[in-house]
Amino acid sequence: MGGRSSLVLSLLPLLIPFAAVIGGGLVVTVLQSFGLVMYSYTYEDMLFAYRHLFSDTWFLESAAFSLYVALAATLAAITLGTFFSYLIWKLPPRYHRWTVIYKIPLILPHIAVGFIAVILLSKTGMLSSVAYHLGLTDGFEEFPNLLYTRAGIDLIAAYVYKETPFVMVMVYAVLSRFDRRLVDTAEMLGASQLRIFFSLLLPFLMPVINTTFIILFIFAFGGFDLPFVVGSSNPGMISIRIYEYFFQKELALRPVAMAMLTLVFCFSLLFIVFYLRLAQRVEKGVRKL
Amino acid sequence: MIRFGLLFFLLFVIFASPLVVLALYSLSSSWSYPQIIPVQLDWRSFAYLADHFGNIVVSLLSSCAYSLAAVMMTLLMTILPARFFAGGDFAGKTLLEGLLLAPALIPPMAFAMGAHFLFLHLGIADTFAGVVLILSLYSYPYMLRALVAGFLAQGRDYSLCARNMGASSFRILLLIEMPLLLPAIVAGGIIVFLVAFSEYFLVFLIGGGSVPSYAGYIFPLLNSSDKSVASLLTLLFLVPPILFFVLIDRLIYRLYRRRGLL
Repeated sequence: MGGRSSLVLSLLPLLIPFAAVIGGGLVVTVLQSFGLVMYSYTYEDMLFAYRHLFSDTWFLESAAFSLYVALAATLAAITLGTFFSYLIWKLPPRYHRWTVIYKIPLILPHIAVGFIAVILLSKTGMLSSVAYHLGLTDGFEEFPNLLYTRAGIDLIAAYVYKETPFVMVMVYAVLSRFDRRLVDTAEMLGASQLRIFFSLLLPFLMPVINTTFIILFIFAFGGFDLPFVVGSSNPGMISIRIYEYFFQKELALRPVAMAMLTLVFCFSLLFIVFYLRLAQRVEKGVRKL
Repeated sequence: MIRFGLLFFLLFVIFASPLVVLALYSLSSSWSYPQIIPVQLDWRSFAYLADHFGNIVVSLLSSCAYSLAAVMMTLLMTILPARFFAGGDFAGKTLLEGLLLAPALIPPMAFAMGAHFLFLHLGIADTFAGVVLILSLYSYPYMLRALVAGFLAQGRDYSLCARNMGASSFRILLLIEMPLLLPAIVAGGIIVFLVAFSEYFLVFLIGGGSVPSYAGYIFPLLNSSDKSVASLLTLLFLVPPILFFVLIDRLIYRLYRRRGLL
């Protein structure tokens, strides 16, 4: 059978491209953020890019805006998605296949979802027309500004639309393995529906909710496609700032883009570690069944 | 029944109704505030489609080609490692598996922009191969997860049996494990295809405009004032993935029937 060496050999098809492209790519990103391997440019100050970032407030504002959008969208998507999959789970099985329409946003690309947000939310868009016919507004001037603002409603709504089905798929997969007899027992012992959801089902779902939260939060935090179509340009998501420094400014300023990427990467790693720690601590405090 | 009706209505309004709006927009270029449905229908967006048919088809085919290539590439990259991870415990397994699943967690920009520099030096920036490579490295964790689950589900009895009868490792993989793994390959492949087909930024960055992509083709139109054309082309985004799912579904069904597994 060849033993251990052949087993390690079988990892190579993945390890080689992983090390070369992802490892190599990250190394280049970090090096260039310090002004190294920057084509023919040389920098006297290795921390020039980082000093540039923190010499003004725009970077911190963009970071705060990204954090806010990602947090709001992910929390909303998790809540909505968990709730919907619970409702579907409670339906008699013969109805389940009709609910697949919730998967539509999964096949829509982010840029398509951004476009949908524009035609639905603009001042003369679909929601505004509906509001007019319901008598809520007397004209599009009265409809609130939802696009390209600091409140980030367009981005949050678009991410919630795109991410909720993902939450539903993940949560439903776990929920479908839940033993329904436990619910029956709880009902017989007189537990209310709310109590069953929060004390019985939710602890069971917490691991998958935590995983989903990490995936979606980091995705929304560092995603580029959607903010490129909608969202405010001031402060603007951090990915848009990275794009500007990478493509639109002079090549000599590219280390600034790389410094932002390095910080985003470090933040993502720290976030994963801290979130998992926190989740573990909370789990320990909960009594197991 | 009433509860089902309500839930279905809610799911429809939230998740499906935007597509209805897109369909209506693509049927009318004169739809404006405050009409709830367009008063006048016209075929202008379809005329655009006919006029630019060549470009649209080329970009769609190119997107399908690099997405399918990414599916093949991720399969080749992950099938042996998946068998390895499903095979048993060893020191550092969780750590290694976590590390290899990480590309799905970190923002792809972080490594892609550095990788672009490397690709330039290797001469694969602005090429089809470069696009396939970057998309594969961004999306392989989904394939890896699906295949590990698939290997765990099939157990090791069949392969052990074949090995006892003297089959080589390669034969076991090709004739026993792969056919049994087909559902897992399809599950992972669909996600990889979707991720690659939907991606705008990575193709734009590594392809640099010389690899046509459908996302790149429609992007300027999404920001134009012509909502009608943009709506029709956005709806067109759904066609290749759905065709791909149906085709795969039929293919697997036939294959299983021929092998007497259904």
